[in-house]
Amino acid sequence: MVAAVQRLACALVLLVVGAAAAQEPATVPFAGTVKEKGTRVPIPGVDVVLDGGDGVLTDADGKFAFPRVAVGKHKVSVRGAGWVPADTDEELKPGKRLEVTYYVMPAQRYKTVVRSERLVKQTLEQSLDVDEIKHIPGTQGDALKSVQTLPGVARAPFGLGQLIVWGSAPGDTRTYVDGVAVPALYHFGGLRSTVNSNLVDSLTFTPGGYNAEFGRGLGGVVEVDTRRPKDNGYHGYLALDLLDGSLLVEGPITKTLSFAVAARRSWIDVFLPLFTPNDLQLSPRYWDYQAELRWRPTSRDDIELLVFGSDDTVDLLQKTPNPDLANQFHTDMYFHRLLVRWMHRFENGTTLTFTPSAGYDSPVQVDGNFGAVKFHLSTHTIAYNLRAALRIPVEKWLRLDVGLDFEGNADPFDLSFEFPANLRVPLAGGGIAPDGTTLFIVGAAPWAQATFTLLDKRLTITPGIRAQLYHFAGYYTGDHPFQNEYWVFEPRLQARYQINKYVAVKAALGVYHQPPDAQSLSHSVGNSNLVPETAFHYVLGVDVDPTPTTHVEVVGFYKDMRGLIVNAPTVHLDNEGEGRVYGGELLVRQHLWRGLFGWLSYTISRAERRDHTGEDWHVFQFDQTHILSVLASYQLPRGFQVGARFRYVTGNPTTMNPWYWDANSGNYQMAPAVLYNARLDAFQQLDIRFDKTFTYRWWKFSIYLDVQNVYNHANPEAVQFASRPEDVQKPIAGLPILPVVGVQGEF
Amino acid sequence: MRMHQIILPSLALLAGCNGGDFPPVSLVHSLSVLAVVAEPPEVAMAGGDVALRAEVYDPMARPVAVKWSLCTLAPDARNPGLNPDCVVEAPGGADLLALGDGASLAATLPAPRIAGLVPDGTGGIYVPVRADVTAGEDHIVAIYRLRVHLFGPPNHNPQLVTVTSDGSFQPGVPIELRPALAPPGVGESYVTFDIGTQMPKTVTETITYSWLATAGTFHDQRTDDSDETTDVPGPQNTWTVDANQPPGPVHLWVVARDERGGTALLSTVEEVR
Repeated sequence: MVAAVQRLACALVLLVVGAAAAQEPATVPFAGTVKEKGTRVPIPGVDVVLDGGDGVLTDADGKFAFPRVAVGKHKVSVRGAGWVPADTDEELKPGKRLEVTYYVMPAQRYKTVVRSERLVKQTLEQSLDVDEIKHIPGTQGDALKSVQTLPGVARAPFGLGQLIVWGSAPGDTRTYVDGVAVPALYHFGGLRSTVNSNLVDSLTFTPGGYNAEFGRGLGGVVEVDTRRPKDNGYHGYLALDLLDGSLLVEGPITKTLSFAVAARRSWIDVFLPLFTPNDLQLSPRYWDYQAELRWRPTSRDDIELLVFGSDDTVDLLQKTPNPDLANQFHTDMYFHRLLVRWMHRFENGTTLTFTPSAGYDSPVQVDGNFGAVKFHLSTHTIAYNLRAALRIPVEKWLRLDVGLDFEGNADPFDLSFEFPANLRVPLAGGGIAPDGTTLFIVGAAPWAQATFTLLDKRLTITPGIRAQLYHFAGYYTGDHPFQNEYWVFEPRLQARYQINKYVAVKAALGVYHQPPDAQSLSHSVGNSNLVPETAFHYVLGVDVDPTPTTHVEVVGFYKDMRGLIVNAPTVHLDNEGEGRVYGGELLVRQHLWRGLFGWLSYTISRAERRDHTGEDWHVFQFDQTHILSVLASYQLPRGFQVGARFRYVTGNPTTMNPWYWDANSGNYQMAPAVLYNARLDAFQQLDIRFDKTFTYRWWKFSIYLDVQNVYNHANPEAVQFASRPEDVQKPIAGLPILPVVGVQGEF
Repeated sequence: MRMHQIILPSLALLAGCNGGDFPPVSLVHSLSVLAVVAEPPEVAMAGGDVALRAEVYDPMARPVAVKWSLCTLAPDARNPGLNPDCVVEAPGGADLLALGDGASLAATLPAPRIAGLVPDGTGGIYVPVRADVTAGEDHIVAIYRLRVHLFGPPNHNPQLVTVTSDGSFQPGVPIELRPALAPPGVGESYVTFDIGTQMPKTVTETITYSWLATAGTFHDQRTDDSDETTDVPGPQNTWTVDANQPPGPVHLWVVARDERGGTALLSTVEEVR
C-alpha cells in the first residue's frame, strides 16, 4: 500500500514537473553560412537577423550561429552593405539542429574594392580594376586589352596590339608580370593578352617619367600583378567565343597553400578567311598557360611559384594552290617563364621582395619559301633574371627603397638563305650574309630611391638613382668576337603636391637607357659596336578629383631621345638617330558609380625623328596627332550590362613616292621622297557590347555579344604598293564589322 | 632594328585585309608608255643629234601629247642612278632643258655634264631624258637614261624583225611566241670593268624582252636570251587569251632592250571574233 502511494506521488511530481517544463518553449541550435550567389564565396560581416530582432554578424568564413532558437517558424533576414537584402522563412523542429547556407547577390550597382595599397606608386600611373574593365566593348572580355585605350597609347596598325607610348617605338615599352619582364603582352593581332586576365589582380600603366625601380626602355611600363588563387573552395570557369576557348581551375590545397591553373587555345585561324578575301591568307594560332602556387608559411611571408608562357604561330598561305608559286611563310614566337617570388614583411613595416626567374623565348623564328628561294631566321633567348627590393619605412616622413634589377639574356641566332644555283645574288656591299652565333646582353642595375612625405603629407618627393651596367658580347668562337661594357647612370625625380582636397600638381623627370636587341649586334644585319639608346623624360601634370569616384588628369610631356639605332649604309646600323616627342593628354575617368563606369582619354602629340644630326626632322612612323577614346559601360538590373567604345585616331604617316616610268627597264619606279610626306585617313570605330549573366546558386552563366566596328567603317591601315601607279591607290582596310559571341560558365 | 616588331606588321601587310589583287603588269589597260627609242641610243661627249620616239598606247584613243626635256641635275650620293628632282620637278622647271614636243622628235643635245655621274654595271654613264606624256587627265613621267659614248665601238638599237608563233591565235588556247632579231644590234660586245679581278673585260650584250598586251596573260613577264636568269631559258614566251575574251582587236607588243639603252618595239594586232 505504501509502495503504491509512493509510485503515485512520484507520478504526480513527474507530471507536474513535466507540465512545467512543457510551458518553457523548446529551443534548438540554428547556424549557417552566407555565401555570394554564383561564386559560393563566403561573405563576412553581414547581419543575419531573426524575426526583426537582434542579429549576428557572419565571421571571416561567412558563418553565423544562434545557440538556442525556439522551435517553430521564424523570419530570417540577411543584410549587408553592398549586398541585395534577402529574406526567407525557416521552420525549426524540436530536437533538430538546423544548418543552412544562404546565397545572396552583390549589389552590382555599387562596388566596394578592398585591396591593399600598392607599396610603390608612380606619379603618372593608371591603375585599372580588372573586374571593372573586363566588360569594355571591343576587348572580348580581356581586361589587359584596355591599356590600348589609355591616354598616351597610340593605335598600332591593324590593331596589332603593339604598345606605342608617347612616340616611342613598339619595343620601347616594357611589360612585367609580377616584376618579371615578358616580351609580349598580346598575342598576334592584339586579339588577346598572353596572360589570362582572370588571374590578374591589377594592371598598372605608366607612360613615362617612372621611378628608378624600372629601366631598359625608352617608352612606358606596364605592370601586371597576378592575384592569389582563391582558398575558400574550388572555383573556375570555362569560356568559349569566336576567337578562342579558355579555362581556369583554382582552390586550396592546404590552409596556407592554394593553386590556380589556366590555359587558352585559339581557333581564329578557322574563321579569319571568312573576313579576308585576299588570296594570301594568314593562319594564326596561339595558346598560353599559367600555373600558380601561393604559400603563406607564416603571417609575414608569402611565396609564389608561377609558371606561364605563350606561343604564337602564323602561317601565310595561298588560298589557291599554285605549284609554280610554292610560297610558304611560317613564324613561331613564344616565351616561357618560371618565377619564384618571396615577400617577407618585417615587424617594423619593412618589406623584402626577392624574385629570381628564368625563361626561354623565341622572339623571331621565320621560315620562308618563296618559289626557289628559301629563307630561315631563328632567334632564341635564354633569360635568367633576378629582381630584389627592400622597402624601409625609416620615419613617418621618409621611406627608403633599394634594390637590384638583373637581367641576363643569351640569344642563339641563326640566319641562312638558300638560292637556286642560277640566281645571282650579291651578298657583299650591303647585302645580307648567312650568320649564326650566340649573342649575350647582360645588365645589372642596383637602384635606390627615397620618398619624402612632407607638409602634413601634402608634398611627396621621390628622388632616385639607377646605375646600369651593360655587357654585350658575341662570336666567341668566330673571327670577330666582341665584348663591350657600358656604365650608365639614370637619375630620376618625381614630385606631387596636394593643393587642396580636390587638386594636386605633379611632375617627373628622368634619364632612361635601352640596350639594342640581340640581333642588332650581329655582324650580318647589325653592328656589334652599338651602344644603349638614351631618353630624357619631362612631365608636368594636374590631378583633379571633383567627386570620390571621378578623376580628371591633365599631363604635358616632352621626350628627348638620342643615340637611337637607325639604318646605316655601310655598317647596317648605327647610333646616330635622334627623336623628340611633345604633347599633352587628358583623362576623365568615372569609377563604378550607380552602375556606370567609363573614361574619356585624349592625347595630342607630335613625334619626330631624324637619322643623323643635321638632317631635317620628319614625323615618326607612328606619329598620331589626335588620339581620342570614349568608353562607358552601364550595369542594368537582372544581370544585364551594356557598353560602347568610340575611338578616333589621326591616320599614320606614310610615304607617297612620285612614280616614273623607267624606259631603260620597262618598269615603273618610285622616286625617293621625303619620308612620311603624307598620312592615311583617320581611324574611327564604334564598338558595342551586351552582357547577360544568369546567376544560379552554385554557378554563373554569362553570354555576351561584342560587336567591333559597328558601322563598318573602312579604316585604312596601310597602302598596298603595286608595280604601277594606277594600281597603287588602294589602301588596305582593317577589319570590317566583327561580331563576336561568347559564353562563359563560372563556379 | 627590332626584328620581331617588324615581322607581324609585315605579315599583316602581306596578307592584307581587303586589298585587291592587282592585274599583271603585262596587261595594258590604261594610258601606257611602251618604249622610248633613241636613234642612235647614245650621245657623244660633245653632244649631238638624237631622234627620240615615245611609243604610247591609250585604250581610250585620246590625243596624246609628249613634251621632251633633258634633266641637268646630277645624281646625289644617295641616289646614284637618278636625281629624284628630275622626276618631281614640274614640266618646264628650271632644271629641265626643253627639247621639244611630239611623240617623235629630232633633238640636238648639248654636251652632257658628266661630273658626278656614276658608271653602272656596264661601265656606262647616262644623262636623263624626260618625256611628259599626257592624255586627258592622265599624265606619265617617263625617264630614258641616254648613254654617253665614252670609247669603243658605238652601240646600236636591236632590230626586232618578227615574232613567230607555234599556232594560230585563238582565245583559250596558249600559243608560244618567239621573237627574232637582225643585225646590227645582235651579239654586240662592249668593254667594262670587272670589280672582282680589277681588270677590264669584254662582255656580250644580253637582250631582254618585255611582253605587253591588252588582253591575256603571259607565262613570263620578261624573257631574255641568256639561260641564267629565268626559269625557262630562251627569249620565247607563252601567251594565253581568255576563252571568254569579248570580240574585238587585241594588241600585242614585244619590246627588246639591250643593257645599254638600246631599244626596239614590235607590235601586232589580233582579232577576236
